[in-house]
Amino acid sequence: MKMKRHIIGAFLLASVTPIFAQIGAPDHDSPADQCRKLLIESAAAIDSGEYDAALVFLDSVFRRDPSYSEAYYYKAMILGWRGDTTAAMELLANGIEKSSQSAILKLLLTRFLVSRRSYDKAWELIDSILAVNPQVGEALYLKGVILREKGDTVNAVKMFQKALEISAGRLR
Amino acid sequence: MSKTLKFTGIIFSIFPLAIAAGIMFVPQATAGFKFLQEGMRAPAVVGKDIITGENISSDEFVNDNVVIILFWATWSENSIRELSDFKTIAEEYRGKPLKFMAANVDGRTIAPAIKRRIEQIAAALKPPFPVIIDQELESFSSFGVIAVPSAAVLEPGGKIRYSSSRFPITEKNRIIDCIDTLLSLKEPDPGSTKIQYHIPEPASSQYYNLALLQANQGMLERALTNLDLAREADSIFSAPRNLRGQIFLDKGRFEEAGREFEIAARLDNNSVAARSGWGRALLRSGRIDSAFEKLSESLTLDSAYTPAVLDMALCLVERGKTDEALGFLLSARELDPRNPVIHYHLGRFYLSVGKVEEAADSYRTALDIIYPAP
Repeated sequence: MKMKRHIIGAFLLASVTPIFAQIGAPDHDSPADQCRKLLIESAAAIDSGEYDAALVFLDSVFRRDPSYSEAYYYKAMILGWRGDTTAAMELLANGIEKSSQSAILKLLLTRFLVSRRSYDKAWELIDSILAVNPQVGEALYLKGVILREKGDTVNAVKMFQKALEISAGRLR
Repeated sequence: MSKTLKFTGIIFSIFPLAIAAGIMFVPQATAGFKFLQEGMRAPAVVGKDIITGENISSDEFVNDNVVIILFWATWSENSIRELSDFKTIAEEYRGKPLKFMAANVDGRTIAPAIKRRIEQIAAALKPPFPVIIDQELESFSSFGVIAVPSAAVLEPGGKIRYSSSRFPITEKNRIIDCIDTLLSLKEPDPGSTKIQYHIPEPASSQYYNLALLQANQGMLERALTNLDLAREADSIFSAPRNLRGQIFLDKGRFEEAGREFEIAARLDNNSVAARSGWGRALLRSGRIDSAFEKLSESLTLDSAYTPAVLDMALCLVERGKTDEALGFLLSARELDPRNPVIHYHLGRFYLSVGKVEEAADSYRTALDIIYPAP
């Protein structure tokens, strides 16, 4: 029942006709607000396990703003959960092309690359994240994972230590 | 080998070392939660039933029933055993004013694979009670769960009558004893009666619960204000002192933390949380011998209270007793395998003794927990 409500809601929001578009996206909402609301709906659908409904909401976001990073992130996650990692990676690469500074997209793509043992590409991507912000603990952790997988334990430990230092707030 | 047996093995293997270190393990009641103690009203546990999709709150039935809350996780074999035991108890007491609720605490966010595992376990077990996911670990934080599984038995009205963490083999019988007593099916058994506890003044409880909520949301100054009010409303209620101690610890104000825990320990001689917190404050202040003493007292009250087990390991490291320290670190990991702090300290320990491979594995596990795969 709830899923139906989501799908219908998303359909209204995504509708191509101006009247339906207004139902889902009132005049006073800016496109950014509309995207945020749709993203919240998609997150709620994901929480409920209603991935098809979430995808409809996310596609509505893309129609309003094709460079909305979080929408790429959520959609890639859903694709990954469904086992379609190739599509997830393509989508993330596409998203990164549109918002080249997005650390969340790069980190997620890095995870897919690491799981496929594409360590060189993953390393390059992590470097691009750290070039913007050297304090991204998750990026350092993933570097450590790559080093460990390659058998460089000593440097892996150093990288993990750096990541843990940055993440000290979560170690209380 | 089951987790319980493995843990028992570890405890027995470190037993001689513990005696050598001046610690005596004695049979004792376990301390269930860090922030709630017997006699205090438990906050509502809320969530969506994983099978029916209905929203459930323990407040809906807490007034007229004995309520048992179980905190469990898919990675904990003992959790599954306890779920199964609770199913048996629930079926045996069908028709009695007794309700159960199982809150999954696998993590702050639940990936679909974990959610599927929770659903599979619930579907296979078919417990006659709701199984919910503790969203954002809200109840986990407000109770101060220290180990999984943990259980709380609430008397009608919602006060905690009995709490336990981990799953000792005697646990089922203790819980049944408690249920029977609360349902007036038997006279309280003096042999199994737990430590007497102070029932706090209602106003003090209210201020305390509010402070706990604020502390969990990071509003520490407001929490401290309400804890002052809780203290004024009931000067012998130890929990507000414990929470003040915890807040001071988090703020790095170790002397003040130590004083609060000391008062809490004097108010409630059997408070494991107070003695353990006191030990931690002393350890952080660099007073290793005093810390050792307090942590030993804490472990005498509850040999498997994870924060004290971990701090005892750190204390022993400081004293240069590496073998004993490792025993305690491994015990802490066995008790609370999803705690990144324990893996972090284990990594540091391994590195200090030149075991680089093991250090890498422990650090990586800590970070796997901190940065879970989406």
